[in-house]
Amino acid sequence: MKNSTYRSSCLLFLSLKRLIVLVTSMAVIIPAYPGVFMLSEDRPQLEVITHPSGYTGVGGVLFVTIGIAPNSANRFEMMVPLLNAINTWNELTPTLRNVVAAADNNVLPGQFDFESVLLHELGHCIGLSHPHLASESGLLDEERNYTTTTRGADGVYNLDPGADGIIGSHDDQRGDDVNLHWFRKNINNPFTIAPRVDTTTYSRDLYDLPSGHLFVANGNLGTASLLGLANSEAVMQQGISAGETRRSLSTDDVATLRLAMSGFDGIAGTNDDYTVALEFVGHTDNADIVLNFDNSQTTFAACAITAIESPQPGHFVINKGNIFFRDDIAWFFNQEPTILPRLEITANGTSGSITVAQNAHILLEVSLFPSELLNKPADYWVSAETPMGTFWLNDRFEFIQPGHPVRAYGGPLILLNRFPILNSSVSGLPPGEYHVTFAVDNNENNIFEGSFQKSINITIVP
Amino acid sequence: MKYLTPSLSTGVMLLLATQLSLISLVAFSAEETSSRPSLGISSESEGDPHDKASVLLRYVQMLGGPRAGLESPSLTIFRDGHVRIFYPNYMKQAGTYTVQLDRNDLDQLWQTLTDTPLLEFNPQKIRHQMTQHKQTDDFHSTEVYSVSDAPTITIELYPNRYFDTIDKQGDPNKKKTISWHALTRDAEQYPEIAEIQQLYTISQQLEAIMQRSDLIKIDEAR
Repeated sequence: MKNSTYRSSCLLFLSLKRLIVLVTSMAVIIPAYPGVFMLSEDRPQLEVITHPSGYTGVGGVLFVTIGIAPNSANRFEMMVPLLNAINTWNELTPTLRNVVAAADNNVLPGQFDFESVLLHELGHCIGLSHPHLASESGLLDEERNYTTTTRGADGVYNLDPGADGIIGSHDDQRGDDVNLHWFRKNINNPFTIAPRVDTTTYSRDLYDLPSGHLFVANGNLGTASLLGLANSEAVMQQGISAGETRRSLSTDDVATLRLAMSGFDGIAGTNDDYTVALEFVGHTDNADIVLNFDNSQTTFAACAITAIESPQPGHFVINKGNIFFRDDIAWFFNQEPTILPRLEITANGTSGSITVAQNAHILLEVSLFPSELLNKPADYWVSAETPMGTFWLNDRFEFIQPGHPVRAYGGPLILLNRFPILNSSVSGLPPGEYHVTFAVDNNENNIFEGSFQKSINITIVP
Repeated sequence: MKYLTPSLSTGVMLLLATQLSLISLVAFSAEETSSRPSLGISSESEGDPHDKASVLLRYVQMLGGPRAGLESPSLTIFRDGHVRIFYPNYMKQAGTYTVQLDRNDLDQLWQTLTDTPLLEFNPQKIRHQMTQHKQTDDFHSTEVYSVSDAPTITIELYPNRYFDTIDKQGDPNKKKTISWHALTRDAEQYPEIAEIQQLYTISQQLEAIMQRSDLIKIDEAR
């Protein structure tokens, strides 16, 4: 799982997914500001940014491995929720209305959604902290919604919700409490994000607040409501109700991680920028983050980290993360995968469509990323609709025209990374439109169903 | 007393506790009305040995994960050794349970609970000690440790309500409340701070009572 080929595939996969997400969700992407980093409370005098395991200041893809303790309770039930949560952090897509009430999701009454809680704990284990004064403050009930700060010189939290009466909003009056929450300079809107996220656009300094704002707002349900946004909340906001789900990231979560990803120099677009790629490495303790049900370590769920302060002041790098769950909580383990196999087909390295001359050479390649359906039985198909009719690729890698679908391969779903299926001159083919489809079925019955597929249009010109 | 069978011991203590609670009810009812009932304990009523006036100790585990305001697991110990344990409806063992502590166990627990460091527990002073230790430790070690979503435990203790102290005419409504977040982590990180260690020991004892195998379920969770 950790070889370079796999990582290259993952990198390609992540890039593709992010591109797809970017393109397809531009209409719904909404802006946010970042929250708070782990260990900020320990070094309030520094503007702390905490990075995931393995970051050394070198840019690129930062792979963070995640394992499930081999002897943990629920070690198999955890897998789908874990893969879903990994996918959610890897895609890093900001969403609105991410808090879904019990009546509108698949959680059984009275149970806590494991995937939602895990998504929150994973956030801690890659460096994110609570954007609000959570249970660690010792405060109770709604007072916990105030933005994360230290107690200040007077040793107590100063709590006044301001004229709007909304705790955690821009007009809170916090006395000498010291802000630990990064916010978007001159905006301070919990649900907006700067096109560029780094220390030039985000700050912890209250002097960077917009005129008229008294304190940093955080992404809780109340501030969302104040801004006319229903059921929207940062995943890193502590607390979930039984039956409720919060399985997608808010802008706040995305912006916080993107701020860390601007690297030690805090400037986006430089050589030390990185992209986080979480990867599940199986039932093992040998991973950067390990999940375990252990009642001696938690009464609900918790993330414990060790970290090292880097030579760059204010920057910590996590060494190891452990996520613990208590097994006498009524957990709901979502078994609906959100990650489906992804297919790709390219001609001469291009996807979508390509035009080639009749005397050109063409290389057709297919890629398959099975996700959690890895090794599940499947049928593989490649069809080509041409000016001469429909052809099918057979198991000898020949395009034939039998008048019915022909399977190229029957067997387990495996990782294919730019696997060549045709590499020849097109000089023998007539000009026209060619539509080539790579399809995979989610069973192995030799009947064409095309459960997952991807196509390319090739125009051959004289 | 400690050689009596549990049932006989229970009966004797119940009788004694009933009488004692009636005495305290008459003497201190005006002050008691100002405090809210909690943890499902009824207001004081004549003849009820397990009303709020006979509570010796309440212990609450406020879980870090659920939204604020949700009910938390809790334990209440009454003056007669009667114990009531509550698990909210989102836990597999949801419901209210009882168990009876014998006098010897209760005596031992009480001695630990009323030790001076606990009665004089001062969170600000302890936080200051922790900061000093942390600064020293960080100077020597580059690795730091942090835990998120740890529980907060709360102990409410009525030091003047136990048998041995009832005759001292102390205010039975005098209450010592100790609340601490991430106690397990701090007990591991600060072995030299006696108050933290003692609080951890007590919490372990109370947790052990909550997990006893002889708990009797008397009610489903609300």
